[in-house]
This record gives sequence, C-alpha cells and structure tokens, in this order.
Amino acid sequence: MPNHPKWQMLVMLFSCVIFISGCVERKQLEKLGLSTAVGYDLEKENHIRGTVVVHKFDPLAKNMTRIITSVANTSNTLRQKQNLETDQELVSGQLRCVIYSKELAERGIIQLADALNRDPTIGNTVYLTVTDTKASSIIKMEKENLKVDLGTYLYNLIKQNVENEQLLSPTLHEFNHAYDDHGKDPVLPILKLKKGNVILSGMALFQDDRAVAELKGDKLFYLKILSDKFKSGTHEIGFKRSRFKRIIRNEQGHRFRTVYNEFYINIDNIRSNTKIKLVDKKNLHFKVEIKLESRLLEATEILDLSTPANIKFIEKIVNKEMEKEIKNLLIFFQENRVDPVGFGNKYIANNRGKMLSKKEWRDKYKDATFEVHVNNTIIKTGVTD
Amino acid sequence: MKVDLHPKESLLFNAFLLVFIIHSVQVGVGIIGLPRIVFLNAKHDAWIAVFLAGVFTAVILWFMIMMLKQYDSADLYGIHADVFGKWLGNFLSFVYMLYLTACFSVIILNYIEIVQVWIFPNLPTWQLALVLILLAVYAVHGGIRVIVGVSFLSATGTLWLLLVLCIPLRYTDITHMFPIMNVDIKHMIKGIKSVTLSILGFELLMFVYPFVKEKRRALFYVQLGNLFTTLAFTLITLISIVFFAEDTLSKVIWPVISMLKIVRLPNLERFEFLAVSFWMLVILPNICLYLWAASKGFSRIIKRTQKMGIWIIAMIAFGASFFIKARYQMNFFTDMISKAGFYAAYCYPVILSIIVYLKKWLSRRKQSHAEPS
Amino acid sequence: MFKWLAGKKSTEGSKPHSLMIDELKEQIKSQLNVGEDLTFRTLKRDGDKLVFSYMSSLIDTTALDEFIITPIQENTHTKWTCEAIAQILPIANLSAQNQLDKVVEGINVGKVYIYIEGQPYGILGDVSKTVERGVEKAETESLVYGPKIAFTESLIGNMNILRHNIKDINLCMEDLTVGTRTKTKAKLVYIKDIADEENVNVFREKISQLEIDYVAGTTVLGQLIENNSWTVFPQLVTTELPDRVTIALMHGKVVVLMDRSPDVLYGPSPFFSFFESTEDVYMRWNMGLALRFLRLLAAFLSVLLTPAYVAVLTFHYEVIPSPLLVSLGQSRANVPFPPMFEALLLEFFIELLREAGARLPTKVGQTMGIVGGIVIGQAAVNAGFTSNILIIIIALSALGSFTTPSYIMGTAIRMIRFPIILLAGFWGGIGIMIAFCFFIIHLLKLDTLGGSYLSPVYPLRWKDLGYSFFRVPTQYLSKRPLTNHPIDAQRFSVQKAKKKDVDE
Repeated sequence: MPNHPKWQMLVMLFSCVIFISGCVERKQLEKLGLSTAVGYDLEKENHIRGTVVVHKFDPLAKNMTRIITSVANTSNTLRQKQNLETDQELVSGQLRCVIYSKELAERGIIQLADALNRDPTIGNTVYLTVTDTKASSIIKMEKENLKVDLGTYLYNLIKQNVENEQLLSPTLHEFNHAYDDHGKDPVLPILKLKKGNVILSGMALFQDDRAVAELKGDKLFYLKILSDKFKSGTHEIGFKRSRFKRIIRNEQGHRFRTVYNEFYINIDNIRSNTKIKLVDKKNLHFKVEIKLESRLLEATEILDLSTPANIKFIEKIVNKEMEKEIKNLLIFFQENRVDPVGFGNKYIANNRGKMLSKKEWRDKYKDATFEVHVNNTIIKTGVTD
Repeated sequence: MKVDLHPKESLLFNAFLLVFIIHSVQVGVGIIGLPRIVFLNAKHDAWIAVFLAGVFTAVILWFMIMMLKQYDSADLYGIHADVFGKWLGNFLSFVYMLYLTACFSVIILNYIEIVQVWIFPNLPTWQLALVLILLAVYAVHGGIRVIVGVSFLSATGTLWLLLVLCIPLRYTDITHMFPIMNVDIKHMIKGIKSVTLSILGFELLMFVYPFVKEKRRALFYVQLGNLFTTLAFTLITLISIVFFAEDTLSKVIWPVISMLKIVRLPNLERFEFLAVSFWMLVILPNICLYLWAASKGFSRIIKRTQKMGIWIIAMIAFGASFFIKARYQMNFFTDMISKAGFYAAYCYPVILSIIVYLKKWLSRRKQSHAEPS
Repeated sequence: MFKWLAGKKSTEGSKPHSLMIDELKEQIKSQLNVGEDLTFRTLKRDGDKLVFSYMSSLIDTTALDEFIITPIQENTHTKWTCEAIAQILPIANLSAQNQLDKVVEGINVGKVYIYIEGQPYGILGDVSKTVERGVEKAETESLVYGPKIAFTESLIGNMNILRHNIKDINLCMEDLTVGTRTKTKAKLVYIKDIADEENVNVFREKISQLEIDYVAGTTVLGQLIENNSWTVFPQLVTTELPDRVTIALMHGKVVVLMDRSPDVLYGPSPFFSFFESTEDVYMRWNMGLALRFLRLLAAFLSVLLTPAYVAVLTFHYEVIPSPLLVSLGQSRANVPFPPMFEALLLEFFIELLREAGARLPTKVGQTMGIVGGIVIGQAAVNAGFTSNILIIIIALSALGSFTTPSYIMGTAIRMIRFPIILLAGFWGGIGIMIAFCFFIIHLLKLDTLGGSYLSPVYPLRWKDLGYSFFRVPTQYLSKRPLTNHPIDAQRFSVQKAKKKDVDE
C-alpha cells in the first residue's frame, strides 16, 4: 500500500508542527479589556487626549466599565499608555463609536480616521461622531441606571436614529467613501450632553476632513432627501393660516377656536426618490427632481380632504415650500463650499476626459446653479377623510 | 521519451469536470487584489478591461486546444520533445517546470501574507507554509483523480461567496461607473495586461489534457469554465468600483476582503475572518495542480519518480518562504511571476501552436509528396 | 442409485479407516480429543455389528433416537448393508464416507457416523442442532417504521429471511469459507442481472484470498477486505436489518453473510450511504428529504461547533455579536482554564459517559446516564469548572453525532472532532480550515470496493443524487443508482409513470 509511509510521515510532521507552534498570540476573551468607545480631544499643540471606555469581564461584578484617559501624539501610543492603567490587555476589535471634539474636527481628523482604516481588527461599521464640547466630558458621563456600557449606548443611539431615517449613516466606511470621492464631502452627527444624557443634536458638514458648518433640525430632512432616499420619513412644515383658509373645514354654525396662529401640517410615511441631472455642462446647471409619496395624518386644524382639488391644493403648496427650503439649503452649502450631496460626482460622471481633482471641483462648485422640482403626492389621509 | 501519454482508463475523468478545473485554478489569490491593480491603470473602466482580458484568454485557450488536438494525447512535455527534439525540448520543459514551481510558491506566500495582515500578525511564514505544502503533497500523492475532485468540491463549495458579495451592493454609488469608456486605449491595454496574474492558471490545461475522457468536448467545457471565471471577475470588479471611492480603491491592497468587512451575518459580526479562512479552500486546487504539473516533469523528463519530484519541489517552495519577508519583496516577486506568466501562458502557447501547426502541415506535405512518387 | 459409491477413490493425504469397529473407535478417538463428549453406540444383530459415533453435545438426541436408531431397530428384515440402511433412514442429509479425516470432520459438525463392520463405506447423517436465539428486534439500529426483525447468528435462518424478501430466481448465493481454522461458512449474495460483474468478482476474490485463522465477525471481515485500513471512516456498511439489505440488493450492491454473526456486510457503499436510513424510504419523500438534510447538517455541525467555539474565544473575539458578547464573556470569566483545555475536558467527559453507559448492565446504565449528564454537568458549571454555553454546545454536538444511522460512522465523526479542536486551539479559524481541507482530500482518496467514496457528489452523477443526498418522489426514481454500474438499470416503465394532461 503506497499510502503507508506517507501517512506515518504526515502524522509525525503534523504533530511536530503542532508542538512547535503556539507562536500565534492568543486573545482569550475573558482576559481582554474591550474598548467600546473612544473620544479624542486636542490637548495642546501636537498632543491629543484620548479617553476610552473599557468593558471588562469580571466574575464578581455584574457589568464593569472603566474610563481611562491619557495624552499622546498618536492613537496607538494612546492605547499603549492606557494599557499601563489596566489589568487586562486593551484591544479595539469591538470598537463601536469614536468621538472627536469640535476643535479637533475643525482642524482635520483624517490622520485619526486613517489609523482606524489601516487597523485590520477595527471594522468598517464603527460610527464616527463629533461633539461641540470636549469628547472626554461625554465619555466621562456616569450613569448608574445605564444598562449597557457607554459604547453600546452610543452605538444603539445612532443606529436607531439611522434606521428611523433621521440621520445619514455615519460609519467609517461612509466617511472614507465621501472623503475620497472627488465630488462629495462627508457629514457626521453631533453629540451633546443634555442634563446628564447624551443626545444627538444635528449634523456637522465637513470640507474634506475639516468641520465647517452645522445643520440642525429641519434641514437634516432636506439633506437626507437630496443625498439618500426615504423609506418612511416624517416632516413638519409651517405656513401662514391665511393660505389654507379655503380648505379648513367649516361646520355650520361652529367657529373653531384656533390654538395656533400659524398652520402646521405633518406628513409622514414619506417615500422619496431623487434624481439629479446635469443639464448644462458649461454653465454648471443642475436640475434636481424629487418625487415624494406621503401620507397626511396631522394638521393643526381640521381640513376638508374629501375632494381631489383640495388635496392637490395642499400638494402644490407643500411643493412650493419644499422647493424654497431646498434651494436655500443648496445656497447655504455653496456659501460654505461644502458638497455633501454629491453634485461633483454627477459632474464627473458626465465629463469625459481627465478626472477632476477635489480642488478643481471646489472652485467650480461656487459657480453652480440649481433648479429644484418637488413632486409630492399625498396618497393616503388616514382613516378619516 | 514518449510524446503521447496514454494513462490508464481508471485515471481518466469526464470532460465536464474541466469546467471546474479551469474555473478553480483561475480563481485564486489574484482575485483579491485584482480590482485595485486594474483600477490603477484603467480607472473606471476596469471592469471592461477585465472582461476583455477574459475574452483574450478564451482566444488563447482556443489556440491551446488546437495545438493539443494535433496530437493523439500529449501534454506540453511531449509536445516540446516532439517539436524541438530531445535537448532543446527538455530544456524548455525544464524552464516551464521552474515557472510552475514559482507559481506554486507565489500562491502560497501571497495567501500567507493575507493571513498575516488580517488575522494573525505574529504568525511565522514558514509554519503555515509547511502546513499548506504538506496538504498539497498529500493531495498530489493521490493522483489526478483526487486533484480533480478537490477542484470540483472547492468550486462548488465556494460558490456562495459570490452571493455574499452582493450584500455590499446596498452601499454602492452607481455614479462611479460613469462615464463609461473614458480611458484611452493605452491605459486600457495596460489594464488588460495587469489582469494576467489573476486570470492565470489556464495553462495547466496543457498538462491535464491527456487525462480527459472525451477530448472532443474539451474545447466547449474549457470555454465554459473560462466564461464563468470572466463573468465572476467582471462582477467583482464592477462591485468594487461602485463600492469604493476612487482614492480608496487605489490605496486598499485587498479590496475584496475590505468589501467583506461590511457584511454582517446574524451570528457573525466580522465576516472577513470567515472569508480569509475560507480562501484556503479556494487556493487549494491551485497549489495542488501546480505541484502536480511541475512534478510530472520529473517523471517525464528527468526520468525519476513523480513522488521524488513532489518532495523536491515542496522543499524548494518551503525554502522560498524564509526569504521573502517584507511587503515590497513580496510585491517584487509577484510582479516578476506575473510578467513571466504573461509570456509563459499568453504568448508562448500561441507561438508554440503556430510552430506545431506548421510542423504538422509540413510533415503532411512530405507524406503526400512521398506517396505518389 | 448411489453414484458416489461407484466413484473414484479419495485424494491423497487421507486414508480410509479400518474396517474393524474397535480399531475404528480408536482411530476416531485419537483424532478427536474430546473426552466423554464422543459417544459410541453399538447395535448387534446376527453377528453384524453396527456402530453409531457422534458427539453428544452437537446432536439433537430426539432426532437421533427417532430418525436413526428407531428405523434401524424396527426394520429387522433389511440386511445391514450401507445401501439398505441408507434407504430406510428418514434423514434428508445423508452421505457416504470412508476417509477418516472426512468422517472426523463430519462428526465435528454434528453428524452421526453409522458404520457396519466390514462394509466399504459408512453413512454420515446430519442430526445436528445449533443453539441459537429466535428472531428478535434489532438492537443497534432502531426504527419507527418498517419490519422490526433482525438477522440472527444462524446463516440458514438469515438466508431464509432474505429469500422470502426477494423471491427472484436471479438471487444468487455463493458459498465461501473464511478462517482456516474456524472454517466459518459465508455466503456472497447478489442479484445476477442487476449487480455488476466486476463488483462481484472483487468481493469474491478478496474473500477467498484471505488467509487468516479466525475471523471474528462480519465487521472484522469488512475491515480485512477494505482497501484502506488506516482511516477512521468505514468503507463497507454493516447492518442487521433485512429490509435494508433488501433495498441494497435491489440497487445492485453485493452482500456478504457470515455464519455465527448477526451483522451483514454490503458494498460498494459510498460515504453518503452511511447517512441513509430505511425510514427515509418508508416515510413520504418530503419528510425523507427533510430528515436526510437534518442528519447531514447535524453531522456537519457536530464536527464544527465545538472547534468554532474554541477558535472564536481564543483568537477571534471580534466575531462575536454584541448581544452574545456579555453572556459569553461572563460565563468564560468564571473558568480558570483556556477554552481549548476546557473543551477537551468536557468532550472527554462525554466520551467517558457514553463508554461507561455502554458497558454497564442496563439497569444501572440508565441511572448513571441521567446522573452523569445532568447533575455533574450542572455541578461543574456551578463550581466554575466550565461555562454553561460550552455545555450546551457540547450536548448539541454529541446529539448531532448520534443522529447517524450507522454506529461506526457516528463514532468516526466523534473521533475526528478531537484533532480539529486541537487545531482550532492552536491556529483558530485557519486551523479549522486546514482540518477541513485535509478531510476533503482524505475522503477523496478513499475508495469503497468498486467505486469512489464520495460518489454521487464526485464523480457527479445527477440521477443518483435522488437516492443518496435527498429523496425525490418515486416517479423520478425510474433508474437504479449508476454508482453500482447495474446491468439492468430500469426499475419501472417511465412512460406509464408520466402524468397525464388535464381531463385526459
């Protein structure tokens, strides 16, 4: 049997190999301190302060998290220095959320993001965020009745809002993608401390890797409509009461007391689809077409929605209002010379010849003109008419 | 040395399995870095370059099959001996054997480098090289049937990875693809040339051909395997282009695995660990076939047993694992093999098939001249 | 009449015994050293002496009395010659002998030698009784549906059962003898126009060329004729269910029966036939399909689950999803050992439990199983000796390995788990993959007598997949599996099985 000496030699060699090995480093789960959230502050010139939330597995305590902070020049040195203060090896494989302070963000965060890129143990779905105070103050916030550690809390906070379509997804991958694209700029959410709770309070617009502007409230909705599609969004628009007088329901003999002196409607279940077309290459004229399908559930006065004419009337007014707001937003972007929507990509896609560099696009961008069309269809009005 | 190789009936395999052999040998470690390498030359139209490279490969395969059809059942060693005579033919076969051995070690070293970067930074190269080489030796000792079985099982067992690659489609930005056909011809040709290392492997057809049962259907199945590989490569390149931004794709060394970082299965957060481990199954048929083809030369040319050849080549490859340490050394070695592969697998078979055709035509003319007189 | 009487003299090496009864008795006694067991009974009449020689432990005394001694005593007018005696004995199995060693051989298997002094030949009559058990339920294989009888140790009884299952005249049963000392009878069974000639030849040659003194049973015979004895995987199926053997015969396989062994061997049997159970055939095809998938999935998981646990907890902590992270970490924090050691310890413990349960008498065995399994497991977790997640994983993989219908294959699967755990503990996910590749190559190299081990997956035979991998409705199974290269491949007419159009 020709297999016999082969088999024996194989077995022998395998066993030799197994015994010699063990040169691979072990990372046993219970011996590790998992850093789930990291915050970076600019400490002084050329130094950053890193604060890390470490999740340890302790057989005696229920859920152990520790906050460690240190100062160094690079993020890996930070980790080394933080290691000196803990009894378990610090690893960042389960990193969930990274927080950058405002001044660091204004100076530029690409070197820290690049370190996250190169590290193979850190995943692509880490959330990057910015705060308007110091990052360490957010992380140091102690909360006794927090069921999970801060990293997981922040992760769930952002994830839940992304899924509810209030935020654009701020993962490391998206940041990389937007930063490396010649025709797009990244956006990251802003965290804030409010009465001992961490909340999301808007989004920061980046020019390459420096934060230059902030968006709050309503404008987030329009940003998301332009750059992404909605599956089930919500929006509230305010108007003067006079414009809606004809369709406010008037029962005979009753005059409804008005609660507000302005009129608001809220449309939800919004499904949107946006098409951006480069109409004129030389003059850089873009045409933005937005198609919405929405549901009207709430208005601050009772409306008479039984006739199609009324509904069309509402649609027309809402369309006009949205177009105005979006136009203002686009001008706001141009003034701050940021392009989070990605008009540059559209321009590059239609432009034969040499690829545009980032600087070239930024120069061209301020000359761009936009034309916005919103087409909103109110498909349902709820259970009553 | 006999020109024709007529192996035993029980060693022959169905021509249908050629699809899996060709496909599994072409898909190896090259595919992981392919999108970046082509993108550096052909930019947005990298996927067109990949597709055209596949078409070229189909043409080369046609040449190869035409050449092999002229003989009854010969492999490359036999053809060398027939066309060039004993000494020159043996010399050329020996050079080809060296090329095959180099391919064998390049694949193993590339894979170990991926493991060292992504999973185990402290893994000594020689350990994993020893284990992989021993696995290949064990498989090759079983003969061609075992190796064909390995390619079949590997090809069917890794089909699901293609499906997983459709998950990153959620994060894509289709504008990256436009404008189509923007690059000029020079860059496109450079791009096509840079695909060679990844799509290499089909030259092993010249060694496997005598073992095919129905040789008439060989061309059809070989083209089918190549078509499947081309489509898979094009799809992967296309997904990489729309997934990554331009600057990212020029920087990321292994785009396919970086793409898989996004995938999240229900019980497994970071899919790339599973993917890198599974890639061992993808490269297994490659290394087995290269080792088998290289060691066959021992029994055909040097007239020693194939088993001794297997061990010698294994030891050479194992020795090579000690010398290559840094990334740039690996790059240099891989580029060298890529260039050698371009000539050995693309240019050389075309030239050889023309020479063989000429020779047969001349000998037929001589015969027809000899008959009437 | 008795043609053999006029036949030739015997071959060399044997000599006829003495014509005198006393000398005959001495000759037989010197050959067989069995003490009081060898009995002689002499009858005298008119100066003729007639002796019965037999071994009292081997014969049925009632048969001897009623069918041999009584007719001879009652028929007083017949002359005492061997032909005359042979006429009056109501025994089915009679033969004439005069060679000493053949006589001794006959007495050794339970025949009685009747010799009349002075006659040239004596008569060997078969009055043997074999001690055997009646037909019972199967012990090692259990079924929910289907006939429950199992083969017994008697070759004749097994042949009876088989012949009643398949009343085809093409069912051939060839004689073979195994064991040079024990001379156990064996039978090679196949259906002449279904089974492939080559397969039958291979079996026949391999068994008849065996030169060994004693073969302990059919499983040992299987190990002796297999091609590869170094592997853990069995290459021939042993079973004790007649319906399974019937199905195998109808598919074109070759069956070996051996006397004194209740197991039956058949081949060629590829890897996936060890996961087939007769229940898949008896139940509807959808349930059979689901069951077969469940079994294959269970076997696959049982091999990979524990090593995956070891690999993830030792090297790849990033892979764990966050809800699981806390519970895994907490349960591991209590344990002082590294995960590989803990897993090996628990696997060893389960194997101990299984082995002890198999050896103990049934009454004690059940209690021990429950005590061992539940109580000690729980106590181990509470003592901080092991983590409870690992106990669940090990229990799942143990259950998975018991779902294989073939006990030998189940043991093989359990055995290969240990090296994979070792490799996972040293090299994590890469180690598991190395073991996986190794086993793929290993399985490809094996061959069962007459076919490759991984057929019908490799070499790919589409139609056979309906038999082994999954079950398809019967109307698609019109051909026998190609793996066995059957001669008569069609089972039923496909035309008649085709569905008709609406309202046709």
